[in-house]
Amino acid sequence: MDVRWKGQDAGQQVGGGRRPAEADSGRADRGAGLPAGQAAGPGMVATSSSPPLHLPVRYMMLGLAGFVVFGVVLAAEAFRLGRDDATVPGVVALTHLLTLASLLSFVMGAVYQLTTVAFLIRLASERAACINFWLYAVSIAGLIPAMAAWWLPGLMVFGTLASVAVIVYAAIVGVTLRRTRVGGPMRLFVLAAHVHLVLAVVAAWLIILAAAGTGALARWYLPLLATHILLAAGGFFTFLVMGFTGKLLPMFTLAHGYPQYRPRWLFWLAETALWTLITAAWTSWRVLWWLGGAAALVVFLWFGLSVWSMLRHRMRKRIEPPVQSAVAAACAGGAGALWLLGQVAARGGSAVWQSVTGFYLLGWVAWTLMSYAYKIVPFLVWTHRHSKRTGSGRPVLIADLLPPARSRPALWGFAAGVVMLTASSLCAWPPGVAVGALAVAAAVIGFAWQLLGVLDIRTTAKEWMARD
Amino acid sequence: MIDLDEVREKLRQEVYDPEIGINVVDLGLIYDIAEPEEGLLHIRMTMTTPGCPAHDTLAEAVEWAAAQVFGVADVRVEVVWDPPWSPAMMSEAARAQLGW
Repeated sequence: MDVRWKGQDAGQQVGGGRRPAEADSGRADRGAGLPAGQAAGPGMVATSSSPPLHLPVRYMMLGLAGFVVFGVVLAAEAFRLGRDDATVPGVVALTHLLTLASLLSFVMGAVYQLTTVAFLIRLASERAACINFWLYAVSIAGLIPAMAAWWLPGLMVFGTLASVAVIVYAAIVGVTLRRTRVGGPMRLFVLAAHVHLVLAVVAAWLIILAAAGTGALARWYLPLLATHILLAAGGFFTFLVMGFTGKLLPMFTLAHGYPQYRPRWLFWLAETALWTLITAAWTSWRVLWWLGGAAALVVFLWFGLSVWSMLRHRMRKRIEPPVQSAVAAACAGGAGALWLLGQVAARGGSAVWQSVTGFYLLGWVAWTLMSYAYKIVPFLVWTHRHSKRTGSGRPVLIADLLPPARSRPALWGFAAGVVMLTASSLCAWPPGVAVGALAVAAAVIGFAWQLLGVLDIRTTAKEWMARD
Repeated sequence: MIDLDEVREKLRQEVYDPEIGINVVDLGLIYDIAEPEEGLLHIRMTMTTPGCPAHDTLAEAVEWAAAQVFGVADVRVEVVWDPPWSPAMMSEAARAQLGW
């Protein structure tokens, strides 16, 4: 038996044949054992570059666990948190429970998987990515409580470990992308996102030094804090989501023939907005805040145009619920940018800035990731557990693992909770804050429950432990 | 002598795009099925998009299903990008399933 692959250039042979025995061996046909980035040679089949299932899944499971803890703490602390400033340790810890322990962890797993699919290349080092998970998990488990207690030695030790883990992750992705032959705006977005992530880590360190009253840094605490938030929320998560949307949305809607020029413009617009806002934070020039806010709004409008043109050229006329909510989350991102601009005009206080940031992180970043997770996780599990045919009959499809319609309660419940939470915080209405926080917590638990069901914890644990 | 219609029917029944839930024949992914030599089956196929994450699994499923047909001794599956797949290649049944 023989499977041959031809590249887009006529006659470009990127793979060869294989014997039946190899076909049955699972990894033999995946180019296993090849140096990273090297295409299969004659006699081998150049096929998937995907890492083994246990690699992305371990990060995703940590992310899901972190998300559940975030939901529970949010619900438990809702009353108190609504009154506290963003720099209060409890708020700092809760924010990083969301960003580091859940969103970044899930994103790491997803990026390790999507990078290989989108850029047709193996990871620079799957082993380093596996080992780095333990470093990341331990550092997060120590860092969040250290933040909550504002225990400086703990912040130093676990902060250092977390920084190393994040930098190793960014380096693995960076080296992988440097080797790929797939170019284009998506590569720009993903590369830039990881550069911004490393810069956000540097800014975090400077904040800790500033908070400790180290020399001149103490004066720059607020600009450093703004830089850290902008680089992490805008520079990393936003760039990553916008970059991968260019791959995921056409794939899930079967879009063909839409204009290709928009993502490149989007990238440069997004860089302009990000650095204008960072410059504004350092100079306090209002004109720069205005320009940065306006540029951020244009970024989301341009992104919306890009999404709209993909949807107009889709072949799947029925849009699945997770894709619907990913599109709605993009609108929430646009609303966040508009709110930022309004905040510049109204010169609102720190409480409003806190609400803007919270809405942006939950309404745009978290909601989009949840939406895509409903598509990515079942695909991942299907590929590794159900793609090999062993008998006749109707094959298992991805939708059989988790029907897309079942995502509705969690996704829309989450959105409703975020809106309620944000609006009630702004109006200083405690019952509304509590209801919103409870709705978010319930949605997060439902979301995690459904995805863990697809992952099948027992099977995953066996596969995972057999590898480590 | 391989019954090529039987191969096509087998692919229609057994090999589905896992994401879309439509078989590869109605989706228009199978360009050509031929028997250049006795017992040797040659299938030219494509994917809906280059970089489709289901590349491996679809091609392997086609290979597996085709090998089940009587008289097939060897299967060669060639994944090509020229001509690129277009929605016009889908059958009416597939279009209806996608909401057209």
